[in-house]
Amino acid sequence: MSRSQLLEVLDDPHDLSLGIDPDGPNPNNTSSARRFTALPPSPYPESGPASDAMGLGQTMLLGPTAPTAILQDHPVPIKALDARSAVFSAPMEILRVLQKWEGTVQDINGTEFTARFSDLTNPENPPEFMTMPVEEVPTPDRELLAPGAVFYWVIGYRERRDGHRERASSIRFQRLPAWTASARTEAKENAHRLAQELGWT
Amino acid sequence: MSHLTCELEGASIVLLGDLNPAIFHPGWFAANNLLRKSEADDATIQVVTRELTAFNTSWLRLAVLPDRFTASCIGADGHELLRDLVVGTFTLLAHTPIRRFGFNRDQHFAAPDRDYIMRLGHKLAPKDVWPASLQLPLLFSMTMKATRADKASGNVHVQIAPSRNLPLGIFVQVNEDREVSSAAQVVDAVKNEFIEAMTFAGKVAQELVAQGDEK
Repeated sequence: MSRSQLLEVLDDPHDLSLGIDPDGPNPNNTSSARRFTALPPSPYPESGPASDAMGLGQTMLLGPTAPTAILQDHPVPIKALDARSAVFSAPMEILRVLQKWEGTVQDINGTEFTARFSDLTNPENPPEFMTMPVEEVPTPDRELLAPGAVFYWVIGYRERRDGHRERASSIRFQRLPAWTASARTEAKENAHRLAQELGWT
Repeated sequence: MSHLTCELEGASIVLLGDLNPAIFHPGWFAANNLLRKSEADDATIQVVTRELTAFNTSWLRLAVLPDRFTASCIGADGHELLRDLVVGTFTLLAHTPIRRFGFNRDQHFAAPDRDYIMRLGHKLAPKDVWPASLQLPLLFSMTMKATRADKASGNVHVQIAPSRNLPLGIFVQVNEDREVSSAAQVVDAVKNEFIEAMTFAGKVAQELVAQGDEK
């Protein structure tokens, strides 16, 4: 399978986005912007310019010189493929963030838990402590509810493509792989070494 | 300075290296506690092969080619989830050869009117220097490369173009990329710098689109 065929697979046939042509704003144009298919065959060489874009040996003619105002030989940026539309393949709804916190569970008391909240929207705000009902935690994340667990709490508006808007609150617990035995051993050794350096042992 | 509203946005983390796409099945992420099991079960799998894996969940879009890993999310609420997913993935796959990585924030701003977009385009790309034989020259797309004043390494690329998703919209993508020599370096960078890179990208985009203000 060629690279271009692979990238074709990524193209979402259900793209409902009401795009505008990139050559000029035109709200009446409802043709979907197609993704990925317009890519050159191999757009991400490890270094050097994309050959199709620079072509005709321009770089050789100009030569690698001191930086100029017009960029010369330069690696292609590490971007998502055609992000102008790739990321937004028909989002039927988005959560418009008003406030975002990172919580760390302090303790759990039956049907409630207490957490320390850091304001991610305004990081200069001091941390706060708050008690929340356990039922606020989505069922798939309840197994992660334990002292020390980190979660993200987002409050905002959930907006649908048809214009419907409602207040929304979302809690998701941080998911990271479990520590391996070797990682635990390494951490213990590091802690022991640090303690020795500090004269605590 | 006016603040245009960012109507749509997304973010992505892209790694270049030598990857095995078939590993990146939703079930693998759930088995390693990186996705909820229900998310993995409900994921829309486009393809999982040795050459390409692509699937979507409610918040994540993942695509892996043999030389490229891309994880994207929609909305500003997913930045931390995206960070954790990439950190977790390459903590587990610590021996994956990774050579470069990029952080991207893509924002679509709604302009108040057509004149705003025209002023912005003329300010970023003055037309009086272009040959008079060119009629109605308009800015199609512009990418500026720079480095960050507060960082010693890496590149920043800022692209501005008409939005394909909003009528009278302006698209701004801010990309930071850097060379690395191991997956461990990527994990450190994503863990410690990704959220800050998103904040930086938001400020750059706001300052740039504000250039369309009438002064």
